[in-house]
Amino acid sequence: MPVRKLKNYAFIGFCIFCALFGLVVLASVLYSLVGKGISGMGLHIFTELTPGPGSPGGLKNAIIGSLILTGLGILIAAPLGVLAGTWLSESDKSSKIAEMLRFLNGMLMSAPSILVGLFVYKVVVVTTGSFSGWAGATALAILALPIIVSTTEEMLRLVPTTLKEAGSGLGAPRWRVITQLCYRAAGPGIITGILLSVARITGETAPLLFTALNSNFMSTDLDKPMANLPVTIYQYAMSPYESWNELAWAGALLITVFILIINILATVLPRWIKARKAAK
Amino acid sequence: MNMNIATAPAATESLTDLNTDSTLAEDILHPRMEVKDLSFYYNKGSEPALKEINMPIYNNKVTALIGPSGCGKSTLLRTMNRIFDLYGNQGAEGEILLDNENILQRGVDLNDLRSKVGMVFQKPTPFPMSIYDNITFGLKMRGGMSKPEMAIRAKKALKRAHLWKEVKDKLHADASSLSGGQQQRLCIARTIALQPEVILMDEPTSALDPLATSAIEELITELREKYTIVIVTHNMQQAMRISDYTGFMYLGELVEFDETSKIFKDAANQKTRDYIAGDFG
Repeated sequence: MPVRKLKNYAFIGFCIFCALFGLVVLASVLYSLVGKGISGMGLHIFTELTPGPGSPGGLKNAIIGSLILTGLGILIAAPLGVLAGTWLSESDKSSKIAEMLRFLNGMLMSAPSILVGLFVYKVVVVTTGSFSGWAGATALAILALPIIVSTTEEMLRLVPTTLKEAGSGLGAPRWRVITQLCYRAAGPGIITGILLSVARITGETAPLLFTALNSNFMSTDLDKPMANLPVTIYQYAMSPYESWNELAWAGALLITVFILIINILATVLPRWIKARKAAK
Repeated sequence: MNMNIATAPAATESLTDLNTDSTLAEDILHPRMEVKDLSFYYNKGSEPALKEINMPIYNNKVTALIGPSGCGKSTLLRTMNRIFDLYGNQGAEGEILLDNENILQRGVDLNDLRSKVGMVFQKPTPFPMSIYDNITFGLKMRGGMSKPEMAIRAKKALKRAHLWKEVKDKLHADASSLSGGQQQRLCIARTIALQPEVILMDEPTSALDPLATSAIEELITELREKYTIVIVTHNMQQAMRISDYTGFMYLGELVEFDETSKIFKDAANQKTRDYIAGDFG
């Protein structure tokens, strides 16, 4: 066999090996997660509060707390992120300020989440004097923000200039062109970006450790510490009690499935919206 | 009501007809727009893309702009509704008069100007909304019209653009469900719904098949009765078929402007003759 063919096979073989290696690692993580998580799963997870060591219980307060924190975080981040992304996409290509903001946004996107947690701790928790749901939601919002900003900008830049010119050509002022034409055209992509940021912040533990803390009670008071899944998992998994370990696995499985669903939604929703439009 | 509008100008024309022929000619040949010493820069301080253009745009006539790629014909068109203003560093010098008012001066209401000088683009640009909403988009922007009034106006525009029969049962379907030719007629309908004074068309048929092209050409010929049209085209046969006046542009200059028949049969300038003969471009 000629050398150049051998080289070709060697390279392709190496690529296949690396791909398989990655897949095996991922599959074994999922395998142990499902295997250990499913045994602790049951209706009680959703109906009972987090228990003391050794006694039976569920994750109800943590699940509800996580939904509130994530939801509130996105409610804060989505309008800010979409509007900031809009400004970036509409800004002049040569604009130095836009360039700088884009760079900072990229840095924020890859900043360690514990840093964001510490920042919010210093700014919110220390000044208000207590851990709180608000602080947790703020930390999650800061994490979601850069993802929404950059996807919104990218999606809006994909809107053809001819569409904008056609809008202006009919006498529409700029803000109408943006809100009525660009948002419509880029809408599915922007929604995908928001959903992906939901998936990103759902499993975040570090920023909640110093902000929302955790709680063993059912509470929806945003001024008080709030139970949440990631920190509960963290504490329960570290503990020596078997019943807590089991709950941690169940919680981890729950978050993973939730993220999976969000990811599927993020890919399916835009297509679904398009198909529905075409069907009308 | 439609009938009244259609017959009214015809009646006045026939009255003028009783007078002398020359007054009739002058009457029709009043310029709706006038381009005076117009220069255009894509970047301040760089070479001008248009060099001191002077030309009239006659009322209720079709004026074609022809010339090789990059000669500035689209640029000239895009100054006439100041769509270039969307881009910060571009600028025009000189004057473009619309009803004796210079549209290039500061303080001109651009949204108002663009509802008077409509534009149809090379590629059909349906908005991501229903057919009906596409038509009423400009009307809503301008405001001051009730819903029933808008519905009447939309129907009229669609009829005039020969699209009504094809879409009357699916007005609320997404505009992207239409074919390319239909989409372009929708864009024309959307423009004439605003009842502009002038319609600018930037190679409106270059993305369409021959059948859709001839439908649009027929439409342009009809629209001339009510509107003043300026069309940029790559296709010289098209210019010959549908225009009354033709301007030949080359390297940012208007080389020659005259009646279309004159330009194509007996152009004064050698460059124009060469271009029409297919020697370059």
